[in-house]
Amino acid sequence: MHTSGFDPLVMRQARIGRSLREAYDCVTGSPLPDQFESLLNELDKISAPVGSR
Amino acid sequence: MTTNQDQTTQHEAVEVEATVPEVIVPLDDATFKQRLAATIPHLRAFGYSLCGKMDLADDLVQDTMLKAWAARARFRPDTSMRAWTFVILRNCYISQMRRNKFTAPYDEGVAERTLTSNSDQQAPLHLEDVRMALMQLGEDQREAIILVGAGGFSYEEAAEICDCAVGTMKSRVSRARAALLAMLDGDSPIGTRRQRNSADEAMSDILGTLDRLSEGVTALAA
Repeated sequence: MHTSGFDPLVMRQARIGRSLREAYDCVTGSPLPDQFESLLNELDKISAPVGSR
Repeated sequence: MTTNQDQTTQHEAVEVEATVPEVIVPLDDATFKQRLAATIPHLRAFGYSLCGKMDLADDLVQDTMLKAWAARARFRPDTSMRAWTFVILRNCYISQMRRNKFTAPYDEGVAERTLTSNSDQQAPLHLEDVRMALMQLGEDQREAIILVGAGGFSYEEAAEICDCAVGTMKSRVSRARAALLAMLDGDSPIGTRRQRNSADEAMSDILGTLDRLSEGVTALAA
């Protein structure tokens, strides 16, 4: 009898792992809201706390 | 051959190294900001996985960026900016949790909009299921599986971010994997929901067939 050699459990775990990464990548790949560009521009105006540098 | 004098000198050198405080040369502000900006997408993904709401995740990321900027002198350039900022974000999340800012664990509408994938017509439904299953995990397991399974961190790095032992992190990831598998394979609520959807579809098919049959009967009677 021919068997594929793939463990179904391992295959399902791999599928879930791939979906997890897709879910994560969907957020990382989505466009950044404008608020972050504004915040990055504002950072220079915020000085470090006294004694931290 | 090593003499006693050499050994003494080496020993003293080690002692001197151990007592001299390590000097951290901070990144210049422009470089720090550049590296901080590069971590924003990852911070959003991690924040979203923790709180389940994109708008709250973005608030978390903004707080994290401000705290990271204020503490930029303490960042070691030879370490991972992503891991460092994840620790800050996680601390922000925990402190805001204590203030009950995050009351709703999951926003299905936002999840659907955020997780829609264009490449595969089957993917959006599956990703939604994964997302829902994730939100049903305990927080410890959820952040563990996100960091290791999706974020690409090693067990050691993830343990450092979550301030736990490496063995604990491995255990959390293992249990999270098993729970996700059970849920997405139908042994737990998510799977039950999928089965219910299938049952609903089957019932809809039966009713549709009955409608067609009754139309035929009506036509014959006419």
